[in-house]
Amino acid sequence: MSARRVKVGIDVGGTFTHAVAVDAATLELVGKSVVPTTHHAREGVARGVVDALQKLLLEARIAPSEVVLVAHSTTQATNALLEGDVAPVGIVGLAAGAAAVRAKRETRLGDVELARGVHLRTFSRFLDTAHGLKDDDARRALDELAAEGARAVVASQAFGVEDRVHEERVVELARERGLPATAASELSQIWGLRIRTRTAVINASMLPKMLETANLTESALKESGVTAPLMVLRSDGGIMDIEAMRKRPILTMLSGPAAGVAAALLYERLSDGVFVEVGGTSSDICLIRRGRPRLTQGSVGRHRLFVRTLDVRTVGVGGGSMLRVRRGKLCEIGPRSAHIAGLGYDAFEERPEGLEARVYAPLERDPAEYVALARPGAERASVALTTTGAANVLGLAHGYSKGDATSATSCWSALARTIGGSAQAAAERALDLAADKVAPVVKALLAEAKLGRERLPVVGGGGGAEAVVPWTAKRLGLEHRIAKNAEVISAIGAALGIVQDSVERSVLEPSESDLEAVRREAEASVVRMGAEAGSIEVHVEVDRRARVVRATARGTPDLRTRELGGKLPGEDDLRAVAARILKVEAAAVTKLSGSDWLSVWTAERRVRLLGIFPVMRTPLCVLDREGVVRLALDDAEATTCPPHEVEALVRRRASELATFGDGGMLPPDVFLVKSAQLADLTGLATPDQMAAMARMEVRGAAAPLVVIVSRRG
Amino acid sequence: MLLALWIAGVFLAGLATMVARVLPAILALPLMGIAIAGGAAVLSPDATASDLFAGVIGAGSLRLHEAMVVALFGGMLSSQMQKSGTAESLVKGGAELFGEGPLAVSVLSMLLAALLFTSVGGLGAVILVALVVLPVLATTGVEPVVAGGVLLFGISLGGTLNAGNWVVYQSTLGLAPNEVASFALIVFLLTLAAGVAFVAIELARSGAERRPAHLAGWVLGTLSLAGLGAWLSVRGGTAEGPPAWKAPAQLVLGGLFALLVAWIAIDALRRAPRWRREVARVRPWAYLIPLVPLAGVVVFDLPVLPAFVIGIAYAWIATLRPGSLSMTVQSLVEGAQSSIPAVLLMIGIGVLVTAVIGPAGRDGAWPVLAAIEPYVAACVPTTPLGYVVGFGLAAPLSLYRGPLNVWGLGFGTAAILTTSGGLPPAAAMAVLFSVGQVQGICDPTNTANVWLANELRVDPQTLMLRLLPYAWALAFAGLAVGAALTMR
Repeated sequence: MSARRVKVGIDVGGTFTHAVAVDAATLELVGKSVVPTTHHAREGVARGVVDALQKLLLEARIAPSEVVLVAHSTTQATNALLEGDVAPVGIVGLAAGAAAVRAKRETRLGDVELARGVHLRTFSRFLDTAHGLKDDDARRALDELAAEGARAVVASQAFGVEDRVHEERVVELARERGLPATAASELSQIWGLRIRTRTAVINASMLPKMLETANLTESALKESGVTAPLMVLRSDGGIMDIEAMRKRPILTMLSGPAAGVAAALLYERLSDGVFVEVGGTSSDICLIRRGRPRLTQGSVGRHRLFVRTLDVRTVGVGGGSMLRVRRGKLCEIGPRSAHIAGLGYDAFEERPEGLEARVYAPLERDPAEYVALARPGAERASVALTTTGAANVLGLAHGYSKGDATSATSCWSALARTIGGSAQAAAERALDLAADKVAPVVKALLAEAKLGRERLPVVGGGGGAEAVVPWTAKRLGLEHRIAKNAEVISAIGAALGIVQDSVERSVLEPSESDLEAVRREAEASVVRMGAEAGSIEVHVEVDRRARVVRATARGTPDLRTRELGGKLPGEDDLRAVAARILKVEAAAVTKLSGSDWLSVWTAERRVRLLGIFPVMRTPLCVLDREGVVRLALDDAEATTCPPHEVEALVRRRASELATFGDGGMLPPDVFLVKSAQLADLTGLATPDQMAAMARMEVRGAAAPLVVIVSRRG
Repeated sequence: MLLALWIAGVFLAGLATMVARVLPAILALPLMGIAIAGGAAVLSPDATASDLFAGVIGAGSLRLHEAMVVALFGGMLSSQMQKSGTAESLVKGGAELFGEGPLAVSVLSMLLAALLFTSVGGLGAVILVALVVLPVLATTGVEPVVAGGVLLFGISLGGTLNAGNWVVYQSTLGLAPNEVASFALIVFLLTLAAGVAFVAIELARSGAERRPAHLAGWVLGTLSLAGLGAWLSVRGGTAEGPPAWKAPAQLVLGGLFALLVAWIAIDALRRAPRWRREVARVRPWAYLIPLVPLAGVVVFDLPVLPAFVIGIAYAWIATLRPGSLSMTVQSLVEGAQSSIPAVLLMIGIGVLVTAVIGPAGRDGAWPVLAAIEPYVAACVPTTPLGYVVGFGLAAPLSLYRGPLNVWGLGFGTAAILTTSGGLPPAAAMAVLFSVGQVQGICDPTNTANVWLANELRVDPQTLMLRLLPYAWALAFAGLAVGAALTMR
């Protein structure tokens, strides 16, 4: 038992805070605990995080020394922004020469709208730095801002992306004065003074509170004897150390949904598909493509920010969503949910006999359309008709949502007696109504990613997954599955989180050294946050439209977790997996190469073009040693090649297989399979950039690599 | 009959291959031209193999030679700005200091282009305006397709009020200047509405602009202001002689330019002693590079090519530094190279145009035109409703040099509509004006569209598909107004 290594993940949900302990070697769940989320505690949600952790250690009998990592999500940033629980910010604008006139306006933000009717107050001072920055001037500006009520400071300089000396000096002076501060160009390196300033202002407004929280969580952890590193979920689905949160709390804006997405990737091993996390009241929907969740530009209120966040779409239907009736017909489901209305669930009702249906308004501003069941003569309704109940009536719930089918049916019969029809018909209609809300969003996500015609699986997580996901998937004609341990999937996601950071920079025509610089910076950042050097994969993208170069580095926390206790699949098992992915017989699959970690499989498959002309395709897949699909392509060529020849090969094939339109060159998708890493070069725009990146990737490699090239379109 | 079927078949097949991206336009367009002319040579006694080879392929390839040379010169100037770092620092400054006003910048750019195109025209002017406007649009988060649309709408907008374009209607349809001017004003306002709608909707859709109140304010403000300006300009456009502001403006600008050049020379002399250690730095007057040739065309009435030559020369002295001569030479070569895709496309377009309207300097009727004309004439509707619906639905037939392309068939269409079709001349003008907007804004075989698409690295087809809904709605609106005014 002494060798047990445990990762702890904690998910802060709307109602409950879940904690789980996962065996780092076998990924088995070794314990879980739940406490109410402490929105209103003095210490905020951090109290619940600490409580859940202590309860977990106690109940699952885990010694503090066994814990090798603690990672938690936090809704603190989200809530602070929604409720306006933020500190007023003083902005010191800086610029020199002709730009000063404009820069003064662009750094004066006034009140920033955070949500409807919720504003963040800011105050501004401007310093012209044509003749350098004088400390006295800066100090005076800070004094004035503090006198006006600023409790945090942003220094923002025109063209600061190129030179931020003055910004850093102002930040230094602010900290000397006891004001937490953010240098705008350190937070984001993208041109656009106003948006950059706003991003920094949002970040700074959260600093005082987040510093307090970070300190509290950290000291509570120490008190309980846990010495493992403390990590926080980021808006892009990765984790970062608590130290990074102290500087860049803005990165935790979507920390909550990020935990579920992390689990879909790392626990459910979903590499292409739609993940739907169904809570009690709402569902978060996110698209995963080639092992990465879809990201988007973050925003607050109606304003853009320079941060990348998960592209999560939230819809107001969950496992506890209540049914609504209009003019004697079922018309909608949700957004009000059973536990918010203070009602029991139909599927878990112990005395369902004799209940009668009533239509009423659960909370003050709700429409009087919600259906609930009440005992005859009782003043208040006691049981809600929910999606979970409907799923039980139809026999769709087998896991966490499984209640008593008989109770559920008799509850729904009470409804059927009032509106006519059968309990089954009403339940089907109810799930249709839920699918009406979820399916269009899934469709829109797929359409936006130009995947409208692909048959991607839908994976459900969260306590209400069975109530919503199967029916919706059926409506969409897509396969679905419910994640293991769906009800605590987010906490598991936190525990398994991948250390991640990204660097974005405005560059007009990216040169090789620009690419290398962002790559190196991203890599260094995740190493600093505790990622294991050998596991780091960096994805570099050139966004020609926004003129931005972006590097995202990810690596597993350095815990040597991969000494697997479980049995690894053998070669034949892997071959069977590959055959399924490639859609051929196992005997037809060729193993191209393989390190201990990653293996490349291909086959020849005959397809008919337009149903007539036979053509040969060579589908390909990359599996890791646990049989998890890292990459699957319909038609690709793979070449095993010594490191020093990789660059030339990539350059040659990328040019040869480029497709030309009237709009210019579209290079093929290129991947490199290294010993333990899969390098993805698809974000780059030209064969030269791909070749340059390939050279950086093979640096230091001795063993042959596999180069995979697949024509686009 | 057979020839008409063949022509229709070639158009449909060509269109299908381009839209389905089986063939790029660079191949599809000349192939369509060759197929049409080849069909005519085989099926009609009036066309010969020599018409096909010498006329359509040979002379047709050269038909747009002026536009090709202009595109090469434009590429050179553009490349000079890029190599000297001027473009980069312009873009950087724009993005840094004006990064969050995509709507304002887009609408202002559109109006700027419109203003210039009321007095100038042609690909050269398009390039000159684009060199100023595109970098700034790119920096405010406007995606390339929308930036292209902003310019194309602006160009068409200016074109409706360009008195030079009205001559066609006056001479071929025998209309009075006033009749043309007042309908032009209507089309201008409709085009403006469509253009602003395009910008507002596309920006809101791409998430670049999310402030509805801000949006609405801009839309209304622009419409009322531009309406007033247009009314004034129409009154001025029908007047005779050069505008009164020109002579003093030439004097003032000429003087200022001379002073500027002298100042640059003095600056260079001042830097001369330490020339070898001079660092590359963008000097403020370098930002005037795109404006110098533009002023030459608009204010000094220079032809486009000499204006470009002056621009290139100015660009050289404005970015004077060690190695700037070799950089200029390099820019000339690489700039021309960057325009080659557009030039190749223009060769193909020339072949297609020639195949449709006939080789230049040829005696006798060209069978392709003769084959199309009766069908067009037979389809001309005579009731107001038929007029709006019929021409409205047929508007996309003006694309890709189709039968309703007013500039392809030139005066021919006008004649067909009035003589064989029996429309009143004013109604024919309304058709040409309204349907002409669809062609002018969207047609992937316009040199302006081709050049812009090349510069923005988007597909001319994509540009067309994004703009078509707005331009098509505009055509319907124009036809409806035209029917109400002229078909009673």
